[in-house]
Formats: sequence, structure tokens, C-alpha cells
Amino acid sequence: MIRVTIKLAGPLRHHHRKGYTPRGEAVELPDGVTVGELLKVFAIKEAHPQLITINRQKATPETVLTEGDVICVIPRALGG
Amino acid sequence: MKGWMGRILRVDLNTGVIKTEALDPELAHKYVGGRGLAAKILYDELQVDCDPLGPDNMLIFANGPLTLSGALCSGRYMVVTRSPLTGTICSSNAGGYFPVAFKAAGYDLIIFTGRAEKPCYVNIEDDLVTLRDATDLWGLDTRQTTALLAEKSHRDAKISCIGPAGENLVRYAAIMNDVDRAAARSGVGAVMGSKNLKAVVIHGTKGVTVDNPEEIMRATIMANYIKKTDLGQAFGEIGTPLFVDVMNANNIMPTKNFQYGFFEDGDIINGAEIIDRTLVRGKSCYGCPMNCGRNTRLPEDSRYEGHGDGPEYETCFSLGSNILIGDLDALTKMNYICNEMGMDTIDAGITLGTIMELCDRGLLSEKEIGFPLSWGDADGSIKLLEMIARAEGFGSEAGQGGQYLARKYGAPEVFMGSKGQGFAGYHPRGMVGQGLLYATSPEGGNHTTGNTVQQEINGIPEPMDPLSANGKAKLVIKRQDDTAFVECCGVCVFPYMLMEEGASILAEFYQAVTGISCTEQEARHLGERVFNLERLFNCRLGYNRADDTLPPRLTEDKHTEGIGEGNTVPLEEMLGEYYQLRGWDANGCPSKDKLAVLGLSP
Repeated sequence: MIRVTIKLAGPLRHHHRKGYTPRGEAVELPDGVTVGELLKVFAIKEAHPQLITINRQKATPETVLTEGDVICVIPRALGG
Repeated sequence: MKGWMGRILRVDLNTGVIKTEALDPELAHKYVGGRGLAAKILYDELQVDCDPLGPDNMLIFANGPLTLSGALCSGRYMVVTRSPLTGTICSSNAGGYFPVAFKAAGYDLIIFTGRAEKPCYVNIEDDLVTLRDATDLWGLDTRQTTALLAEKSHRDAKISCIGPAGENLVRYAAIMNDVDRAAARSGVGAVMGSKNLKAVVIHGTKGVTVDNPEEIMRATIMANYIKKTDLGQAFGEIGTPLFVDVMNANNIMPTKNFQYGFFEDGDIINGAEIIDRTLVRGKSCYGCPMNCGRNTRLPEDSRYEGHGDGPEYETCFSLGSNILIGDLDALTKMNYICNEMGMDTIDAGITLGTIMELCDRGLLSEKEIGFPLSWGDADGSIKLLEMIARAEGFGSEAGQGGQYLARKYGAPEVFMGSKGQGFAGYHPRGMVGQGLLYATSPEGGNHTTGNTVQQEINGIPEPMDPLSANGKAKLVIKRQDDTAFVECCGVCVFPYMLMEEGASILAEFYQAVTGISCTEQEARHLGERVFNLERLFNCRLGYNRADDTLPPRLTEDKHTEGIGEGNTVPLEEMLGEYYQLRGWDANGCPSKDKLAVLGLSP
């Protein structure tokens, strides 16, 4: 198992579960889990996010997670 | 004329003479209204070398043909003048309900000239316009001023006013309306203060004649549509502080005076935190279904007290990440102080960032400021903001702005702005088009003359590399011209500049209101004319390519860890292409041919 932290930004914050803090939510996952699979756990459609980062670098739904990763999911909302 | 009220109100504060004149329809059709029409009048009438804070400067309040028309988000007005912060022409705008009261009183423009002998305010009830004594209001903050004037005025009157910052000629003083809305940028409040004009109170009862009411009714349908879009839902729930997360994740949230693009404490000064801790309710301007305004109150367990509006995203950046204050309560308190004192939160934060870096480098000392001030010092920042607004001690110097301080204390490169105005909250090293936009904006580091976030960061309508110069000159020109048209019409940029089809919808509304045929391209051409007129105004004052600059922190220092690491802004590369596409000469001035195409030939 690996332990990661996920932060769901903006309107996506409603997908967080109990135990969520402003700094994110700790999640335990099986080894080899991808970003896409993590999004499914939180019922987020892959098409929805504008940006996914892992440890402040761009990631894709295919990226495999590793111990200690911090995942940030930014929704597709227009900036300005 | 449909859409326009057809009248200009002129208030000569030297003599107290007030008169109304007809708006020339040809001029209205050519320059639309708002920012454009006011720029034309300023260009034609302003003494070229006037002191921005002298009686010769003109202060123009301008709404647009769409203001109050029923078109979507049509509750905005512009304040146009020669800026005391940049020396250039400037257009600062605000939403709320004052703009529609202004139009309902029957005027497209109010032009203030001269300087009153003693503090005064203007009271407008449709055709009845009077200058009244404001001696008892001088020194009061904007909330107190608004409350006292509301007691004396018609119950439906709307009020705009300055606070102590405007009175004390702080070069980034704002004009506040409807208590918490701000025509914040470029120091328009200082110009109002220099005229001894404390407030404008308006009660209007007239309506706008529109050409095609059925088309305007589409606004209602659009309103329902917008509420269901990603933009509408996010704005309604979270407001602009949503962008703290967006900018931070993209490594473009300016931090520590633009040294970085990521703020570790972004998670605790973002939109979600505002909802959980301080939000009372969302607030809308006239004709807006989105509710992006944040009415807030500091909770009982806070070290600070107060209530009001904000912070918006720009303030989360300027008084938060920019000076390393990761404390929502402190940030909110500073926002309240800026609103009450009548001060732009962006340049207030840029000035504080400049001061903190000068202190960091040992160029400015505790002795000169009067107390120690370091990065992240919330209480010191609060104290200094109040000193700035009251022009007390070092606050008097700090009220001159970041550029003044950086030059005076021997490190001009520390000021994060262009043409004297501080940058808004988008780090150009991570979105280089925005850097070009800041450098070429008529009023320097201003985000309200255009914004490239939608294309560079959100990839709408199609993905674009934010780190590359490729295509950026063309993009920036389009955004600047489209924004100019929005600000001529008297509507909000959010629906029209952020929705993919916004520019064409605005052209349709313009046609429906005025009866003048208008396509998206024609609207862009009108915006281009106004943008070029502003450039001509600045060129006449001697501004040129040498002023279209960015600090070396953006063009030479490499972007720090995260997305875009190692990137710099290739300004020179973009600038040459930009001038060429604009039809400007190598020195950045519009060519004769271009002026002829735009109908701006002398």
C-alpha cells in the first residue's frame, strides 16, 4: 500500500470525504494505482479536470502514483 | 440614439458652473462610450503636459451604451483620466449599482474639471445637479462617508466616494462605489481628491431606449445558461478566489514579490477557506446572475474585527502570497482597510512587497519606516497601510508607489510593475503572453486591459503553450482590442471575455441595443481604434518602446521549481512581432497608414 495526499480544488472540493483539511486528504491506495484510478475513487470524471499535478509537476491520468505523492486536481473553470 | 442617453454633464469645480451638452452621435458611434468616448474627449481636450494631480487634469466618469440596457452584466462604469501613478491615460472601472443610477440620471459622461476651493460633493437627481459642501465629510472613510450621504440623500441614491487615501493623494487611491466596489487602479481616487471632490451622489429615474427589446430578453435566457456553465457555477460558489488554486497549481501565483510562482500557504487563503471561515453571502452587480462578489465578516475567534467585501483573487495575491501572508483573517482585514481608506489592494500589496524586499536587501531600514517590517508581517503591514492612507510618517513616501520607492532606495529592479503600475496576480514567467500584455498596456501592469489566462492556462478554445512566444503577439492584440470594446460598452469582462463565445454575444447585444449593425470583427475593430487612440495619447506625452518594459526578474531570472521551471519572458522577441501586427513603427507608435485605417488620422 502507498499513502498519498489529494487536494481537490474549487467546486471539486465537494468530492472530498471525511477527514479533509485545507492541506488535502490522506488516502491509502494499493501499489501501482494510477491518477485515473484515484479520480474514480473520488467520482471525478477524467474529462473534468483542467490540470492534475503531482508534486507540482503536470501529470496525466496514466501517471502511476508513488508513496508520499501530493496530487492536486484543478477543475476546468475559466480563469481571469 | 438608442442605448445612449445623448447627454454629457460638465462640472467645472473652479467656477461651480454646471452644464449639460448633447452627445455628438457621430462621436458615439465611432468611440462607442465608456473608455473609448472618454479617451476621445481626453485626447481632444486635455492639456498635454498637465499635472495629473493639478486642476487642469480632467476626471471623466463614463458609462456605456449597454449599461442599464438589460444586456447581461451591464452594470459597470469607467473612470478615465491621466493617471498620477503612471502618467499615462488610464481607465479604471467598477461594477455595482452606482453605474446604472448614473446612466438612469440621463448622462453618458460626467466630466469634472478644475479644483474646488473647499471639499465638496456633487448631488445629482436626474436633471437637478448641485454642488454641496463636504467639509464635514473630509477625513472620513468610505463606509462612513457613504452612510452619512445616504442619510442626506434620496433613499434610492447610489454613491461613489473617496476615502482618506484619495484626499491625501496616495497615487494608488481608489474611488469606491456602493460601499465596497472599487474603481481601484491607476490612482483615479487621488485625481478626485486633488479636485477636492469627496463624492458623487446620484438618483436617476430614467430608462434606456433599446432597438430590439426581444433580443435583450435573450439576456435572461443567457443568465440561466451561464449559471449552468463551469464558469457560472464556480463563480457563484467560490468567486474569483477560486483562482488561488488555479494559479498556484500552474506555478503562476506571484509570491514574495514575484520571486516565485507558488505559495505554500495558498491552501489556507483560497476560495474554499473563505467559504468555510468568513463568507456571509455572494454578491452580484446589476444584471449579473453569477454572484462572484464575496461579502464577508471576520469571525469571533479572529484576532481582527470587521466586515465588508473581499478578498477577491487579486487581493489574495497582492496582500497574501506577494508578501508571504498566509493568514486569511489578516489578509481580509487588510482588504477592509484598503476599501475603507479607498486604496487599490493590488498596488498597496505591490508597494508593501517592494518595501519588504528593500528591507531584505538592507536598502531600507527600520529607522526610516518607524518599525521593523519583514516578509509575512501582518500587523506591520496593517499598520503601514493605515499610515499610507493617512500620509503619516513613512506612509507619505509609500503612498508614492513601489516604483518611486525602488528608485529612491537604489534598486529600481525591485519594483514589480510596468509604467509605474504594479502587476496583477499572474506571473508572466509562467504565461509569457501576459507579460507582453502588461508591457504594452496603456497603463502598465494592469490586468483589466486584457488577460490571457483563458487561452494560455485554460487552453480555451484550444491548447496553447504558455511558456512559448509563439502566437502570443496575435493573442495579446485580440485580447486587448476585445477588452477595450467591453469597456466601451459598460459591461463586465467576465461573461464576455471568459466565455468562449463571449465576444460575438457582446456584438449581438450591442446591435440589439443600439440598432447599429455589428459583427464580432466590427466590434474588435472598434476596440482596436480605442486602444490605438490611447496609444496616441501616450505617444504624444513621449511614451514609446522604452516604456514597454518588464523588470529583469521576469525577462532574465529563470522561473523557479514547478511547471515552467527555468522559463523567462522573451519580451523583445514578442514585442517586435506585436508592433508589426499592430501596424506600429519600431518605436511603438501607430503608423500613418494604421491611423488612416482606424479613422484616427489628424
